[in-house]
Amino acid sequence: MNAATRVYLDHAATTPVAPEVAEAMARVLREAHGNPSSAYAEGRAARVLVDQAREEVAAALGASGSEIVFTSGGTEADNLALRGTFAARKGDADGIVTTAVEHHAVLDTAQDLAERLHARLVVLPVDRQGRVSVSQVTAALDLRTVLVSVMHGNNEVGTLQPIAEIGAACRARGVTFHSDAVQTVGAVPFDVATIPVDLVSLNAHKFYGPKGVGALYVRRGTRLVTLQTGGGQERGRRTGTENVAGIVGLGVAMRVAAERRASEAERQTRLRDRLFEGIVARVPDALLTGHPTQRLPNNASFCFPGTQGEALVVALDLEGFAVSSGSACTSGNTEPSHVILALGIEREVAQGSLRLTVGRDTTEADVEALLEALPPIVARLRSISAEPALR
Amino acid sequence: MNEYTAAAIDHFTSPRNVGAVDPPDGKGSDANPSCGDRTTITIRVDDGRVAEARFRTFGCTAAIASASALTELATGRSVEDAAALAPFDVLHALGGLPSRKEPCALMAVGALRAALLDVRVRTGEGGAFGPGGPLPPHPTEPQGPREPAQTKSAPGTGMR
Repeated sequence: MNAATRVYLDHAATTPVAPEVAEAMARVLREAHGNPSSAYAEGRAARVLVDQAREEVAAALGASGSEIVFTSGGTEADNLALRGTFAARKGDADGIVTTAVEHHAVLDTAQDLAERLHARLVVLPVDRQGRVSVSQVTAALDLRTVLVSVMHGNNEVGTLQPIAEIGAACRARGVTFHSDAVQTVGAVPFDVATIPVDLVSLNAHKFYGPKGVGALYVRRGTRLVTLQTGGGQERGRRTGTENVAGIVGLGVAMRVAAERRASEAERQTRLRDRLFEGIVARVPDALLTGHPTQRLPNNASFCFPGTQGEALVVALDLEGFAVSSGSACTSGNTEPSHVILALGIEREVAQGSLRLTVGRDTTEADVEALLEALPPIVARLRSISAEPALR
Repeated sequence: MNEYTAAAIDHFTSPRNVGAVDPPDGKGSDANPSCGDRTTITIRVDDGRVAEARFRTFGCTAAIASASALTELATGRSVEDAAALAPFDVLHALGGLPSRKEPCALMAVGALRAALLDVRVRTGEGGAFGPGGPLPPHPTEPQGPREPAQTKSAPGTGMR
């Protein structure tokens, strides 16, 4: 099986680098070796590149350049948001509110803060579609709440959270609001002028940029303590010599994503809905996971009772499809995904989860090929497991 | 392409002996509580030999391949020999599994041994271990050195 015959349907795990991005990064690597902190010409040239990228990222978010902190990716942005906010707390403030479906970068960081620094952690449950309600969040707030962290779009089941409303509730109470928007920035409109959010994590490789670079949007006036000490780059909020090529790649990826967003969102939504419709029609007892409409344009996720996700992934891989079950980070672990379990789906059904995420390079033919390949695989695995409920 | 051997993939894509012997002389199940996978093996015993062994597995690639390989290994063996099959034999037949998947071989062996014990329970005698005979070793018990395991050279003696 050669690469040309493969069908990549795992764009939530990562995306291929866009040609414009690769070209811009290669140019930086070849031609701009300066340290942005240096005062001479080479350094200032690098500084200009970093600042241009900063403006591009800011423009796409409706922010100003000074509110963008470049990081090594989404995980670092989440860590900086949670740990940095908690470290900046005042008085007896110690409460953190988050949800059961967050990425591990948020959930495990919040739990670490609870265990080691005695944060009072509230992890809110979600409904069957994966949504948390504004009233749940407001009910969890008290005078000692420091931070609320609710993701924008879920990486596994694609559900979008009502973050504008949650942000408004937090703002009314003076609580810092963070949103992990790693899956949504670049895919759906995200404007900090209309969404009252103080901290936003984003990650270049989720929108056709390079791996190893991301950013945290920090609204002006938000209290944040740095996690690293050193040369004071990024206004002291994320010190360390800038990843110039990566940052340039992030800026270009952001600009390209903004240009293509409207048409791609519409096209990918069609492909996603074709997956839903085709799979429900062809695979008996397929269970859609996540919200039917309030979801990422590219995410179609399911559980197939009587199958196990790893077996689905391997069987599809053998037929040329790259897909995932649960989240990519935990697929080495056969425990069912915490996200699927949080939806209230029973453990055994949760084991048969499959996530298909389309992207810029996905064609209708790719989707039709998947719709041909999947039903016999599910049927075969079910014939091996012979779940009594399905016979 | 993936982390499995060609032999494991072959057992996964074309599993041998899927299904259930009906009626069985022995039926046994085992599960891996950490992931929820489970395997059931049913056997027919003729004249002290495993004449037929069939499996059903709800689980991952490794769990399916292990059960498939083990039913092949067990078929035709005397009940005593079948009871002596160990996770090692499954791994050997598959050319190995990724290390974190090795418990899947253990689960298959657990199901087969439970089926062999069930034969004894159903017949009230004989079976694998005879009245008063020794119980089969639990699959987690360390096994003595086995032939193919010695292909690995002892530390410090190999060529580098």
